[in-house]
Amino acid sequence: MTKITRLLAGAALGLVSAFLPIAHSTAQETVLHVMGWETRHVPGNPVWDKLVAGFEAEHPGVRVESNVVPITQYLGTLAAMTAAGTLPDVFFGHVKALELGRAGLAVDYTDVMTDEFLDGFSPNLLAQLTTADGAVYALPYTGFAFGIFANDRIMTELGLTVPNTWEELIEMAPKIREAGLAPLAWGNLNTGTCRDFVMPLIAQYGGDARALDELTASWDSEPVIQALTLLDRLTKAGVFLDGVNGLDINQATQIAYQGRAAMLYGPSRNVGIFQKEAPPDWLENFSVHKMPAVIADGRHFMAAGSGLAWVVNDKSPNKELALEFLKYVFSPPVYNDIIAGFNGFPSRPSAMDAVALPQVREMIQWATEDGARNVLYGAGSSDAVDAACQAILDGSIEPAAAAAKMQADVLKARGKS
Amino acid sequence: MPTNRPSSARFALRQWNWVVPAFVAPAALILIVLMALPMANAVVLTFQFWNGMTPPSWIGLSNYQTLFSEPLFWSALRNTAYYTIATVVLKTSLPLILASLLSSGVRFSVFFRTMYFMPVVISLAISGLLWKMIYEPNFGLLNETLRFIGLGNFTQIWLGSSNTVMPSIIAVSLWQGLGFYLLIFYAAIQGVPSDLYDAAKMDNANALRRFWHVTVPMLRPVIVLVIVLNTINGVKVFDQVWAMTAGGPNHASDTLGTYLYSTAFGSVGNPQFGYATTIAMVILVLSAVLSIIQIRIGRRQEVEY
Repeated sequence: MTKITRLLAGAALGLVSAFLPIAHSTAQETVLHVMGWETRHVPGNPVWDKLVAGFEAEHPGVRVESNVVPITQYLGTLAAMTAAGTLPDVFFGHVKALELGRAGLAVDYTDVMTDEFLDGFSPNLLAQLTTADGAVYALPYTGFAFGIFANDRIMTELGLTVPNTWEELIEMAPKIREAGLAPLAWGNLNTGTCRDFVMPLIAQYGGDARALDELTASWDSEPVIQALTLLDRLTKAGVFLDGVNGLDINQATQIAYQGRAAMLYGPSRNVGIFQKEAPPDWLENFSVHKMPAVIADGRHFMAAGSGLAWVVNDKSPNKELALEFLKYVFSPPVYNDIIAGFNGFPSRPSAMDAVALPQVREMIQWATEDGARNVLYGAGSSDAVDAACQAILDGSIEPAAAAAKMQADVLKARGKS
Repeated sequence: MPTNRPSSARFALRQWNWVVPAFVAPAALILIVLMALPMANAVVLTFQFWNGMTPPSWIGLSNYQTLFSEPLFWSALRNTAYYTIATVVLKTSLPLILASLLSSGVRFSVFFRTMYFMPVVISLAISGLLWKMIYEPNFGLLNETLRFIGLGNFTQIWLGSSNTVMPSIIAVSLWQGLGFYLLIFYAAIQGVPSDLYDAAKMDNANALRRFWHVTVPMLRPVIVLVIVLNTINGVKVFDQVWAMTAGGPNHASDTLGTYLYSTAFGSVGNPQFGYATTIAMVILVLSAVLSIIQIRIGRRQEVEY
């Protein structure tokens, strides 16, 4: 045997020996792959560590592995994994949850979970994840509600109160602008925030988001046209930041933090975020309010739903284990810890006592009464609304034409699908 | 006396027969597996409908028919052409002029070259985010500066307006890439024989004439290379546009790259991988055709000295 051959043989033996322990441990250990965009689902976060340790203690030989993918890359990652057949065992379904279910890639929870378990979720949140034929392909992890975060110091200095109606907001906009401030800060870049703004407006005018999403109602119906007309009026009255289509939520939030906006439009999770990053002036002066209504005693419908919803991969070899994981996550002591630790908005009313922040509690109550669906699962719905919104915000289309285009775009997308 | 040993030529030929393929094989295998096979698969995919959730189904030329009848595709193609032409012209001419100036003995040439090159080392995505903050229309650095110096009337909704979004992105691309091409041209100019410049001076040629009649002809191959690189980068542009605008507002800055990405991975219906791959084929063909044309034009006249 030549010297080189001996060297190669030794290297090969060494490589095999190095991988043997791994192969040996893999044979004895089951890895449950969990994926989402929740940045706190990582080792080192005490809430997540406790959750994982508890589950692994109850299931010897199982290791939970979390893959956190940034929200901006999540859909792309999910699409690639779906195409490659490498979906994790349990993951956030994003807007694809129901489509994955219809394609046979997501477990229908009505087949595998008890009625008692499913009834423990907020009916409003679970309904948004339920198909027309009663299948439930995603379980709401946490909920959200959108509202107005007002800078009380600025409002007081200007002698204003937070508007109860949209007309009041339009009337106060010039005074706020004269002070060199933006009346209502939010950003529409790459986040679909306008969809979160417009869908509740449609509800305020009597529209049904679910019917629109499922095309049992038309997108060029009167409630939609009225909602878009209001959006157009708000835009032309200077209520929003200039160039709102070119700003993202973070930029809008920074503008509010800097005291350059009287009010900020955003979700309930902002309350927890403020505690960590907002400057003292904002923290000491912000208050949370309902969305304005169309009329003085009208319904203050606001976007409320669950963007974080767990899907179990129906093709996963660890399907039963994944279901056990979710039962464990939603078990009262564990779920209460999650809500308390993450300052979350519970999807199960039984965890309400775990909500520490009073503003979140208040928003949960509002959402229970006036929550409106804003997440759209039908093919083409999200993009059609986003496109119409952007066009209204930059003044390039009239409301009626925008509504007609939405209907045409959704029909076209469903024809392609 | 006859010998049983092969001649040195035959021995060398036998050595060559297995040695060369053996050394080429690993790299070739990687290229075949990671490039050729996926490309072939992609071509097949353009004739299929595939949403990633169900098996692909054959639909013939339907993706191409849909593509060429889709207004968003033509809008993206127009934006891509606009971006490519603008960046080719600006990122070829300006670096060449600057390189020529810096080669003419100007003071602090090293400092200027360093300053121009610094943006090149910033990633495209980061520079996109950075400029997004600068372009913020309400309180961003650019508009605030314009207001501060009394040019408040020139403030724009840079990334939020369909009129200004593409020029804004092109400006960022120029800022980012100018230094790289400047260095290429600067290095090439060092290789131009100084005799030619001396001869031109003796003929009373001023700086402009020396630039046009000496520098440009002598740098023709490099200029063609830079044009080809800029063309390819322009046709496949994605990172900066996605980081700054994601193709918005309302598709006003959608390029073929961002349109492809949002079709394949966005929330538009289900993912349409077959259709998205068709867009990728258009990008590939455009890049290849334009590059070939430019290289052939560039080869027509060769300057010998």
